[in-house]
Amino acid sequence: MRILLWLMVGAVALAQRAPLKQEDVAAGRQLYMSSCAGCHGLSGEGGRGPNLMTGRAVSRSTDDVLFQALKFGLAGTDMPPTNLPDEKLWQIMAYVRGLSAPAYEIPVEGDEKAGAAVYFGKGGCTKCHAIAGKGGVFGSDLTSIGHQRPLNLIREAVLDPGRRIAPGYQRATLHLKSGKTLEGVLRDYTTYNYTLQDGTGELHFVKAVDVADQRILPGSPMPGNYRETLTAAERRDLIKFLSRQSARGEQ
Amino acid sequence: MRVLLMVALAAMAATAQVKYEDILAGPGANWLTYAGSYSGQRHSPLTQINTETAKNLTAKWVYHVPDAKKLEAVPIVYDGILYVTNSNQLHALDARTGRKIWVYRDEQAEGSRVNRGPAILGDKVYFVTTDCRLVALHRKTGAVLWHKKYAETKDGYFATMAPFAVKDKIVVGMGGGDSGARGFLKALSAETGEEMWNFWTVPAKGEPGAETWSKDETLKWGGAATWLSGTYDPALNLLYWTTGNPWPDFYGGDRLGANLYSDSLIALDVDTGKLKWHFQFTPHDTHDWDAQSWPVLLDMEWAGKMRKVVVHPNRNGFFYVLDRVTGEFLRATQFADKVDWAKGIDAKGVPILVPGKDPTPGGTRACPAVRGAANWMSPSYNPATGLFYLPTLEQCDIYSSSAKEPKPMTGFAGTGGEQIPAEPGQMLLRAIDPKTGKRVWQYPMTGPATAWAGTVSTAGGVVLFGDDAGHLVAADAKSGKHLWHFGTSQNVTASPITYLVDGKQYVTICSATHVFTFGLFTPAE
Repeated sequence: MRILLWLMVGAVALAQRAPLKQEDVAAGRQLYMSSCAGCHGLSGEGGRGPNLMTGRAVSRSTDDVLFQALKFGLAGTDMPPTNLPDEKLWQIMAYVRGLSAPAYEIPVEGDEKAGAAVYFGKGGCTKCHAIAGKGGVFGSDLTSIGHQRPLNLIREAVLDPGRRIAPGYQRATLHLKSGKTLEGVLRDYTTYNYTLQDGTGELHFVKAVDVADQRILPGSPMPGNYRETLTAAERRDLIKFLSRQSARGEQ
Repeated sequence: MRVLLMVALAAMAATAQVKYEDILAGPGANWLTYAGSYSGQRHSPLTQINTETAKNLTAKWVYHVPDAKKLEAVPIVYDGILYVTNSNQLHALDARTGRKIWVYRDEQAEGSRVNRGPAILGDKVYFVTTDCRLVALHRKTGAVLWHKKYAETKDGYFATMAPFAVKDKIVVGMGGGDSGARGFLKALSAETGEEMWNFWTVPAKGEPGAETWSKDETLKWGGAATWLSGTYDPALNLLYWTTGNPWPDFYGGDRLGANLYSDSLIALDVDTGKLKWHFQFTPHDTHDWDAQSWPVLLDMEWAGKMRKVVVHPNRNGFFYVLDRVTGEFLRATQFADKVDWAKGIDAKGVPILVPGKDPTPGGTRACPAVRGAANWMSPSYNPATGLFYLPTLEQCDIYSSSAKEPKPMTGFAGTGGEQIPAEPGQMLLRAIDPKTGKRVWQYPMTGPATAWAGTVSTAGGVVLFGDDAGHLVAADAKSGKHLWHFGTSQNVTASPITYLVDGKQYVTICSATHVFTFGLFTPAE
């Protein structure tokens, strides 16, 4: 009974969601790497344990539920209990929350202004991506990317773009029976129809019966060599800049 | 690289744009504004679907809107692309196939509410989020161009309406009148979202109309919301907008007086937002009879000469004809049978009240019902038949009130109206001659009286409408004779539209969760 009461009091006290502080996130990262990454992956991508970036187990749990899971483990699963002090569990939680939280909501290292310079300059990002209407159409719109993705997925998209391709952005060339050739991204295609957007933004609605030959580029057309072409500081700043992109800004 | 980008941007700018003049021209191949045209007639010149061919209508495609619970949107169609909204979402579809081109979701918006549709102008499509942001998206790519917050949720505001594109402006309104938010209408720049003018539908202390509220403090939370779209006369440069109920909805003891500009039609100069005239349908309303049914602009013969009028079927059960230049009251006729709160409307446009119809703590039976004899679902007008097609509800309710001290932003409405279990309502489509106010035909519907479905009229002599059992129905516009129907198996809470793609006429209507599109049967290729 006393334990139950203690748990209830504890739950009430913990229900308040702690703000994510930079130092907690950094300390939590260290602890995560030694205690959690073995099962949940170095970036939280999952493995023996569930994905902590895109999975709903974390993002939909209240702080108290997460805390209990960290402290006592989860019965019937491989998630073990731990003897770490509560203070350290809070730090792990801060880091784990950050894995699935929109990047905009968590502290991110780097220089946003310098990142903007990389984005608009050396990185060449505007060739394909738009922010607030400025930029190309071949890549996904990045105006609110800080709200739409957790930090690790933004990092992954910059450093390893071929890993996930946003639907509607596959590069393709369609040779039509009329002799015309269309190049662009496939917003949609089925057995019967193609919706191709060319570099000017124009949409082409094409029936499959009118297509003589199609070339759909496998993988991502985005450069996969930013590790070589950008310095570590430039990559960090670019990721910081992206993490701050929000159409809404401060609420 | 930079050259390539500039070439790409220049090319994008050169692609077809929706001009103000295109909206002004009215519906044809496209459907460019909520009511099809600025006049609000919802009449299409298309004739492929007509009294002969309507029987060959068949489903062309169905698009499921993920997360949808109650779609109320009227889509916009331009250049073969159909734009439809759900709560904090805008979907761009290929109108030939129903396939998705792009979707925009605002995951940060507060709450979930119905949304009545987008607007289009230039290369932008617009919609409002639940928390009063006007969002501008590139119509071809779905890229976010900007967000503009135009009201604060902490002040009780929310948004559900279809924005109204006119000239270089996007006009936006608000909801929240049922919990005391003070009504306004705003024009924002179509280019940047900056505010161009604001009109308060409840005047400030000392302004004209403030004397129609017995206590100064009630002016701060008078209601008179602006949650529907409007109509517009380009020659007069006037915008016509309807306003909602005064607050608290069902208890008027703390707001004695007419309560301007609640339950009114207001005519504003579209460039300045200045009030040209107003007409109040239900002074000192205690039945929640928002004036949110359509103000439809007609040029009509009246007493031997052509006159610019605005006709308006009101939730209170009367069909009004006003001079739209001056706001002069011309006539009101009863269009619903179940009307007992007023004996009629006098020569000045004032209701002749029946005593004892105000809500009471114990409940008072009154007609029409709180949902009104008419409501926001779109009527239409066919110039060829001269008939006005009006979804009508025949129902009475028990109205109760509470004199409890009103607390704004708490959901307090002074209690409400409830359906009488032994007296189910009935929905009908009525064809009314606006010249006489007389009923020419009616199409009774079977169902639970819960539809909120509108109409569209066509030059093919067909009126298409949603019925009370979830069907889209085509009827002969002259006689009301049934021509065709299709069951969606859901309550329909939206209005149909019609348009052309690749030379073929289509009809689209939203059910609760899906977008249904129909066309004439053609054999598979």
